[in-house]
Amino acid sequence: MEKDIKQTIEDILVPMDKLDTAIVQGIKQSKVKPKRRIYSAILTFVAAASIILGAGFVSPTIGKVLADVPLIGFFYNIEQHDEGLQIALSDENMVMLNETLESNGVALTIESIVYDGARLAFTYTQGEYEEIYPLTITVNGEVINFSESLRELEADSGFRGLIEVLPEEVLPDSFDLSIAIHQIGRTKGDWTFTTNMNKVDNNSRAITTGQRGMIAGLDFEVTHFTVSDTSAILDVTFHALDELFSGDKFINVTLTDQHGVPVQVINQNGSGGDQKMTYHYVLAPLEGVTALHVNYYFIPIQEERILLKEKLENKLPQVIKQGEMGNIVITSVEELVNSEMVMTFHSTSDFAFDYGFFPNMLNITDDSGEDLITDYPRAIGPNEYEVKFQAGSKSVYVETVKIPVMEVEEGAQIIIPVE
Amino acid sequence: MLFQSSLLKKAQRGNEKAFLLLIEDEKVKLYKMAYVYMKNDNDALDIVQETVMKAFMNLHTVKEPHYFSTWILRILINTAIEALRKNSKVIVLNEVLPERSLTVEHEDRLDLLDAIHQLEEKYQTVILLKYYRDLTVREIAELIDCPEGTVKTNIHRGLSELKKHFIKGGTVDGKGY
Repeated sequence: MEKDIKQTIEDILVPMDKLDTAIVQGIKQSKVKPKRRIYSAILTFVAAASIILGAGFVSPTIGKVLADVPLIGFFYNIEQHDEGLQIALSDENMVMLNETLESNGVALTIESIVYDGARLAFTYTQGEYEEIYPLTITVNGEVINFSESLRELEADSGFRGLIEVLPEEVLPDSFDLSIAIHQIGRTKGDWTFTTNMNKVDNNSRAITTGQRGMIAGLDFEVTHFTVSDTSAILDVTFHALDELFSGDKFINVTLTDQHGVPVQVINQNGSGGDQKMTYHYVLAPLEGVTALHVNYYFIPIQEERILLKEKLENKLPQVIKQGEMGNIVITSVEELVNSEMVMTFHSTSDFAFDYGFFPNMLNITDDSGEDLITDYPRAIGPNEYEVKFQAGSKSVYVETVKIPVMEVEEGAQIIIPVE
Repeated sequence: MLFQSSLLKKAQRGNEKAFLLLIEDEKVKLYKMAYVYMKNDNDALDIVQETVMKAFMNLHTVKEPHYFSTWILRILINTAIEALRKNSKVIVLNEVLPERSLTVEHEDRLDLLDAIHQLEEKYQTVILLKYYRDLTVREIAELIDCPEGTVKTNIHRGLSELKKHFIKGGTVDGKGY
């Protein structure tokens, strides 16, 4: 009977989509306040989240959830981490709203709003972090569908955040915008901000699409590509859905320029149905890029990760062997200011890791295992990266893992000329 | 474990994506546990939702990633029992167990599920932990904060109750329980 009990429970059908929704709602209800961070910044949404965002593509629901939920707990520096948005925010079409609305005793201020064709972004302040949900956005009176991400800009005196909205449809160059918030924290109310918006003047232009590739027998096609001085949009559509979510692996992409230098993905989401899945990427401006190389690959999910940990030596270069996927070579460590260090390293692998070194991994810790990283790895060359960390009096350790063998199939690499 | 440890740290800092991944391996098991207690989809989903809310609010109390699984399991059990006790104030007609006349294995399992549904909650909990989650008596005792002797007794009584339900219906595939 004991075995039958187990099997009986195992046989219970699980409404996966509803379960995922319940989990997300549970998180939303928790209304967690952000804790103070010792980190000064994080590279990008993707650099921080890609390790887990990739794994999130286990199911379309969770994939969407992961694209939508706010990234709280890391301070984001627009100037350092999203130069394109910084340019957009200095455009004359940026709206400096600086409007405070109060409802049921809760005040919210939207400072600035900008639309660059790829994202609608606004900065806001509130007394302390409380979740803004739900959010309704109307453009010329029509409610639009979108995904959003939240970044924490400051938390020293009150909370200052950046919400980046990725509309499902391209918005007009000029429109009446309404941002309606129905709940802040546990307080229901009405905070509706309205303004007229004009897209920033960013020399946006469409690039010829239709390039096709194939990975593991699955066709994919570039369906949208525009570049501008503030961002780029790349849509890739797979003519498959179920096959992308097999459970034992997940798909990822590394985008590089013509020299193999990874391109920064600022934000991304995915939507699917009817055996079709479209990945939508917002990229940093492609300045100097004459060809965008798109490399898709599957990452096998490993049950066990083998930790590789070495004390950071004074004598460089220092090599950390990662087996069949090559070595990590640390080439320099220099002090920036106040014991914050910048470490340069590269991988000897032929495999192209992305802008944030994903799907590889590097962490810097002290004797007690405390994370010392202040700014996550960012690419400075082909498979070459910089990472910043806070040095102390204790020893510094570099941690990585033995990563699974991965390769990019020949057909899964496509090149898009950027005219 | 490094990855799990990193996820836990991130989740404790409020990173919801990290929490979602932490719970990814647990969510189906949590739902099935909740379903056994609540007997229907909607209530089970409510229990999972409330469990997630409590877990995310109190995640800072988890010291090591390997404790996460039993920690959130304890929250779920307490949440479900609390909900059942609240619901018990509402008078409902007793459900009548369907008469067992089925011979297909899957249908037999449905009968067994019905029988588990009918158990008292204290028996349900130990039976689930013992035979679904494969915990030892000692682990169960620690998890539900109960003497090992009581756990053993409740497992024994729970199994006896299940057997009674089944004996009433005869045998399954020629095997008697």
